Amino acid sequence: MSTEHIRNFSIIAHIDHGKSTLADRLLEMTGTISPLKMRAQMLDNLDLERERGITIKAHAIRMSYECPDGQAYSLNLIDTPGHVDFSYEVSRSLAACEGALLIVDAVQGIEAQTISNLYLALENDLTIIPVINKIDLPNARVDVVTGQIVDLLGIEPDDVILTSARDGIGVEQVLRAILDRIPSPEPDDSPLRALVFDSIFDQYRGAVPYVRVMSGEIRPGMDIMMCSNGKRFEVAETGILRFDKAPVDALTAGEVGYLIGNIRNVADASVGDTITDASRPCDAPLPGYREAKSMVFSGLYPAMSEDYEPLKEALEKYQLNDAALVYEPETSIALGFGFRCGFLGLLHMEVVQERLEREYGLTILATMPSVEYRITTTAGEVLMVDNPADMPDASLIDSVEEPFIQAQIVVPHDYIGNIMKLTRDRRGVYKAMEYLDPTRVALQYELPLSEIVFDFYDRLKSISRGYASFDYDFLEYRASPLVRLNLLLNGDLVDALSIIIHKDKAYEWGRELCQRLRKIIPRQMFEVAVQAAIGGRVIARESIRPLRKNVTAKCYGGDITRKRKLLERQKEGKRRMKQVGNVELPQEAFLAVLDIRGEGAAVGG
Amino acid sequence: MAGLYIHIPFCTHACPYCDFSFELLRDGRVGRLLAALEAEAERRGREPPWPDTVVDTVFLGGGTPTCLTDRQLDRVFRMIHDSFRVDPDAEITVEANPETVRTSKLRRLRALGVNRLSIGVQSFSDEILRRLGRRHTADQAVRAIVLAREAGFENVNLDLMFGVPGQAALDWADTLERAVSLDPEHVSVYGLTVEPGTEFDRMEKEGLLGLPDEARHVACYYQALDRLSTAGYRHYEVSNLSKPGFACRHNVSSWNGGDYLGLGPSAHSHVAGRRLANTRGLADYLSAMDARGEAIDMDETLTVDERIHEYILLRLRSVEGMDTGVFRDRFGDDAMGKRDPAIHTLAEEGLLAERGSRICLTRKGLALADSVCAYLM
Repeated sequence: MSTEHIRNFSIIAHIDHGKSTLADRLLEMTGTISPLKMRAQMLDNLDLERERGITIKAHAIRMSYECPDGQAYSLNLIDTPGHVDFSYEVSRSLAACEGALLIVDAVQGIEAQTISNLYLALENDLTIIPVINKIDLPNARVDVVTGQIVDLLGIEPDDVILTSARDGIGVEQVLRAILDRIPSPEPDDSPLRALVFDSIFDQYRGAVPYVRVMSGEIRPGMDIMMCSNGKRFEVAETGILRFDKAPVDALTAGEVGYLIGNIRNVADASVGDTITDASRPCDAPLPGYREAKSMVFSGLYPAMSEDYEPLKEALEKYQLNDAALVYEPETSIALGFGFRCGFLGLLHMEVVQERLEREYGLTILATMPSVEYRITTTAGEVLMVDNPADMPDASLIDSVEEPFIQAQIVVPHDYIGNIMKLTRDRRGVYKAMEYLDPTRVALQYELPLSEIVFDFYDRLKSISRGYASFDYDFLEYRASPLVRLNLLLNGDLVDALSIIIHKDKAYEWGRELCQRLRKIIPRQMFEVAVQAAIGGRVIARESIRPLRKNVTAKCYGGDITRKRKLLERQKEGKRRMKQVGNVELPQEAFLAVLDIRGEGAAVGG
Repeated sequence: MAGLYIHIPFCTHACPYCDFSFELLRDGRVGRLLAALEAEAERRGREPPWPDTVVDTVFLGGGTPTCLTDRQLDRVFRMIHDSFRVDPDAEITVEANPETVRTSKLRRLRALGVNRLSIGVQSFSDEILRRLGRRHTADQAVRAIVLAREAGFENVNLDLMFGVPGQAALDWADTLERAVSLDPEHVSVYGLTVEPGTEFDRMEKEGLLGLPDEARHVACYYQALDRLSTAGYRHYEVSNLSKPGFACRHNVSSWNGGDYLGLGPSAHSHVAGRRLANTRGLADYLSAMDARGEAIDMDETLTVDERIHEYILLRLRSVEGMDTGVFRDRFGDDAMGKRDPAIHTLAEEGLLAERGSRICLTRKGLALADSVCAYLM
């Protein structure tokens, strides 16, 4: 097919603004799948994605559409992950397109995420088709939202398409606009350059990259090369993405599809990489490639120590489909053997944990999320530390730097005061405020990443009654007065509960942590001192009174079995606990830390 | 040598704290129980090792064995002697409640060879007895002991209970004084334990029971140990004290891993590492006996670990403690070695004392016996 009749487009939308519903309507209207056969919202095909209403992985599908005038078109919809953690993946998906539908909810209006993704689309020179969805809702504010879009994009109100995807209203106009407004890809027969915008792992065929061919063509039998690492593979199959993979003879410039080439390792099919012809390589790879960078780190431990091997196998298998997850073995005094894992962001971390538990039947203990600190020692050595337990003694530290982010918060102006208080508590630096319409503002802040990995998003939602939306980008490393706060039980360090925290917040955190642990740790045969300390200095202390009595009075009537079983059950209960020195620590202790919610008691550890 | 236990499940009324197997005494039921017990005794008595075993302790527990009539008691003892070889010097204990004790019955028991009487006194405070739902008064308890002496019992145990709702320190002190003044050979002191499914359990859940706090409970326990020690009683097991030479041979033997045979509903047996138990309720017991001539519903041969656990819990409950040398001989160096750090920790915390090759619970450890044992398992 000539490129003239190809349209490659993506959909940009905030969660719940109707992206999946509109995509479904397009699939129906182009006859790609019959409504009867369609599971609602076909594009979100992971259970977890359905449940959370977000897209975690990119997906792509080709639709064939015959215009009333008889002309056939190929429409490639490349869906993008719907979360800030995956903004790099989003940018690569957008780079594979010529245009994007910008969907805005007629009630909610523009959100922070919409703006961020819109900027990504504009950076990639995409043609934007603005769509206001859910116009059928009684509280739709079509005029206001149109005003927001017009201001943001500098376009005419007439360019905005009004739809109710649920009822099928306006969908045909959207389809028409895709054909009319989005440019077709340029033909280009220079050497092969294909952009990898996603990949999946097939247990029989290895890593399967999803690509947009930018120039040249790719066909079975060819030797290809990955520009990032120079690795070569022979192409066994090329094809296009329907609901299944459909093999085709070749993919040429402008087309979207997949290729199979016995690529064993997903890391060799990483998002953003350029695939070229090994025998006739391109001059330069496509711009914008970078390696996946972990932003948030956490230790994952099996709740039961005998589940270490199963956890290891689960991580290995999981990583085949998610090259962004990195992990290495680590050991904790309190938790035993586990893995230090790096994630793209908070959601990515939650998703990985949840899927490991759900799909592999494991119970996992996760330590507090941490960011990666840059520590310069007095000896002039620079260390990157993502585990508080690895932070050197204060006397050996010259300076500590932490990652800062550029945050964008969109919120109705009634809540500005609340947002300012929250961001101040989280050590935020106010940069700018812009009115999107008379009632909504976009606020710009610089914030330490450590202050948002922990309970920021939930707080933001609760202080704005759910109206605030939030997005961020990495900014830079900045020096901060950070200390390592340790938790001790009867003098023994519980390494998994150590955190790196701003010194002004250490006292409150320490106090709260000690109080919580006092409530969670069951009384034992001896007194337990719960202490929070910075270096050798104890800053908070609680004590757990010892148990005074635990004895069954009678042990006769010959029923020794019952007695033995009673004690064996007590013993079994203890086996589920983690032993720190002579103290038995229930697993809840490690979870309780995750929901310390004292106002201002945010952490960086 | 071995023990024989016979469970007489009948009581004249239900005590709100008791979770032993019991039935209200009604006409006709006793006769059926005795017939079943006779059948069970006859059958077991023919099975090894019993034909070649001399029984040197007999224990009639309940329930309230003394609520049987004289003729019914005769039948029980006839059955015992018909089916088992009882040592002429055997310790033969019967449990009694004060309100069921009459001179004639006590004489009859003596005549049947019973030489140890265990009386469920619980308290010498009428108020506390009322709270415990007991049917006797303090005066009746005193009279029961006096009558037992008159009938010739030279080995009498009193069961006393502390940690009872509403029990003031003075009540308990008074009960201990009166017990000491009556000069029994043996005293069992039990902390009230609220057992699941009992009336007290229900009250506790509804917040109506008002148990004394832990510190108070433990203080009562130590108070009893101190007062009775001063009076010449030797503390030999968590809840048991006796004058020298009057430890309950039946119980001591079972705690030392001796064999015993239990007859009747809920009765447990132990024969060479194998533990068996009869079904619990009277009706189930009777129908099982009718249908299959036996009523066993638990039969386990202990694994090594289970034997170790049992050994630890039984030895540590005895005041003389556990001999680590004997433990090593029985279960090996590894089983001992891997417990050394735990023993060390417990000793450091003042819960265990090391005396030569023996380890035993300290005073503080006694009140935490279950925790300490579980820690060592």
